[in-house]
Amino acid sequence: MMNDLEKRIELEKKVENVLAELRPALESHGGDVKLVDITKDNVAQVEFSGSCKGCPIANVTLDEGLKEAILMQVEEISDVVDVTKH
Amino acid sequence: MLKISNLHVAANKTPILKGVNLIVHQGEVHALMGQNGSGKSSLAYSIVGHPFYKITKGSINYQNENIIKLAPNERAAKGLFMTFQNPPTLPGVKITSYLRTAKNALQKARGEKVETYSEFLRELRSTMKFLELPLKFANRSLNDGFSGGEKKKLEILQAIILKPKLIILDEIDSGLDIYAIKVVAKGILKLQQKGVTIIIITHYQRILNFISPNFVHIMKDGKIAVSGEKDLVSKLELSSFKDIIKTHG
Repeated sequence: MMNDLEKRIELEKKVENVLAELRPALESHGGDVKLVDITKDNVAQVEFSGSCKGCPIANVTLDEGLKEAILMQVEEISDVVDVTKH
Repeated sequence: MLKISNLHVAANKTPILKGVNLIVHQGEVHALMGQNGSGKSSLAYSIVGHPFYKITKGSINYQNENIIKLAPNERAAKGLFMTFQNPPTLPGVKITSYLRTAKNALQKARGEKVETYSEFLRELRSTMKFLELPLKFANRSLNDGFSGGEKKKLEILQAIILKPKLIILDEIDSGLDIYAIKVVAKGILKLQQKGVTIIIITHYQRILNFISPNFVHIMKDGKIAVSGEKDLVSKLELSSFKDIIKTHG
């Protein structure tokens, strides 16, 4: 049986793996994203950087890129939110 | 909920439906049977407003409104939904984009709150799991490279996500193996539990072993020749459409 810490590390790894798949698309536009935290309610907090930071359509990348990929591939995650100070 | 009176329909100027009468109350399950070419699918298409089918006489009253002049999208907004016998393939149209666009349009037309993308994805995820569809399918083009069973499951997925009030299932069970039928039936039962009224077009008794119809209608030559209760189906398996119509008609 995995303890809570191991479960959490496992979950972070799963989210990181999805982000790694998406990263080349973001990098091709000069942007990047990282996982900041996963809350108690299993909400993944992500932060954009590079040209994604302050980008007017970062919300589209969040919804149709990150949310879709993470929620459909990591069933434990309940939501994905952007915590970037745009 | 649905009252069809003396409906006459022509396609390419050829009369297809020749005086259909049908009354369906809310929450009921009606099975529509009959030989190929008897008019079952034409009736379904006429109810949802396919432009190929011209109504020449009669009326279709849905929720106390004659809907024959309404466009298909207006009928969908009022809660009508039909699953296709042969679902079309749309290469390049992702399942998530397709469902999200359709759902948003319906929510706007129905004056409902448009849900967030996260809410949509959570419902999609749980419904796909319920219908035993792999979640990675959500990223694929609609029906592109899908097996017969997967296409039919996807029709049921749309029905559950788009929340209709009356659904017409056109041969949802054709070409499915017994396991896929069970999953599709599970989806139909879920719709029934939510109070959705169901018209199921089928050639086979096996799907009706899972979803028990309140009424069974047998079509012949563009009309409903016989209507009865569930026992009509078992009689049908033992004799022919012709004998049943002769005895009951």
